[in-house]
Amino acid sequence: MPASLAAPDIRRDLVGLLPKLRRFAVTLTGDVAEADELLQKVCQRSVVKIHLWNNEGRLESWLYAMTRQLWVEESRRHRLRAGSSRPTAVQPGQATLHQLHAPEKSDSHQAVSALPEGLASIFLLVDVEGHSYKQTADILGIPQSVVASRLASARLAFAAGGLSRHSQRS
Amino acid sequence: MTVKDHRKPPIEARLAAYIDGEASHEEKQALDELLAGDADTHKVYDNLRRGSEMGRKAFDELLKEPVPLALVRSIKSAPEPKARDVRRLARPAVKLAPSGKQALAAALILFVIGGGIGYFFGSQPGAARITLPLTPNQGRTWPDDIAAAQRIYLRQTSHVVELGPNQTDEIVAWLTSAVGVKFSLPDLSGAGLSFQGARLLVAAGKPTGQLVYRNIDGEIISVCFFKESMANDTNDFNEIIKDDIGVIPWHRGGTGYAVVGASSDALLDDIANRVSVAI
Repeated sequence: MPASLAAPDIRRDLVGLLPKLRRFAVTLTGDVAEADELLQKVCQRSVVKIHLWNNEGRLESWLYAMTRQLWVEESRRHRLRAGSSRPTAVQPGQATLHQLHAPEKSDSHQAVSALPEGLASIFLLVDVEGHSYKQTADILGIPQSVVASRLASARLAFAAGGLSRHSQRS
Repeated sequence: MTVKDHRKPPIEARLAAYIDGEASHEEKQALDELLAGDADTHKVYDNLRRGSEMGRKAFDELLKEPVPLALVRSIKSAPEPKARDVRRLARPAVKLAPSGKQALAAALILFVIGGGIGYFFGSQPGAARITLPLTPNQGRTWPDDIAAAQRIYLRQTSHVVELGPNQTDEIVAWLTSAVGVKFSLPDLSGAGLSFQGARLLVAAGKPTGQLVYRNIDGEIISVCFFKESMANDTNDFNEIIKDDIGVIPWHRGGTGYAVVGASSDALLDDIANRVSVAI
């Protein structure tokens, strides 16, 4: 006989994780407004789908994977609506720049959004949040073998950006 | 002139893995030596370190930004999660740890029973050899078997299907006659799935059609169907979790249907909704 289980309520956890989830969403979308829109869908979906989480690992890892998956879906829908054949923002191996023109962006936003696409998420997961290469590959749906090279590209891009800002000031 | 080793990743990637503790012991030793003796390598290493530090600062700043109140409100006003039927493939573990006396008693009982059976058959020399009929495992359900098939095919990179995506007419004719169910091939491109082809399975002892799709991440998602006679129509799309595999079954018009994919796939129920309309 099937067991009827009450799914855990993660709404309180979600509120606590919002800043981190939002930061991750920004690395995918490159745009704060789009990130908030995406995050709203992630929150709604995760509350309903929490019974699918197997309670192993970090809750945010599961939420990150869901965010990435929804973003892929969203990108594809936008592309279909626009009738454009432009590749999605999260295809592995791409190196096109985010198109961001928000005038009020902070230095931090500029530094992150200036990274070639697909690199910011990897940097965030490994360098900032301490995920292993395997966990990062699982969350982002990419082969583990490409994590190190993309991470190196992200780090060198940050280093180059910092140097150019430093030389502009002096 | 140095000869570049094309088998190894670029030095930047190797150093990144070294910094993160993801390099093997041998690789770490090799890079230690390289860093000690090669100024260019050391410069790359320093740049990676500096970039790491600068990037972290930028991301730390992002975390300080206030979260829009509307997001918090939308979470608090989200509907409460529903109680779901969760049926696990994994059986509860039964731990057998008999004491010495219990083990001895069990061994004696088995000896007596075994001896009795042996005596009974031994005393009938003309008795015909008994062969047990091969019967399918009655404990396994249709979702169990299609989840098991899905788990196997998820790991395949080729030979996933018997008939490919260009043989749609043949697939429909073949599976209609083999399974005994009339169906249309659902076009799931709107859900980001591309049709890969089809195969015939045996699940719970019944012929089962499996239509195979891939999502944008290359993961396999299947639509399965079989003919059944006793089930009532259901359209509630309750997901059954079989460890890493999610199965969303429903019944309609004497046919059992299911969408099968990774249990982490948040969009399985959307796909099931689409399939139930299109198939």
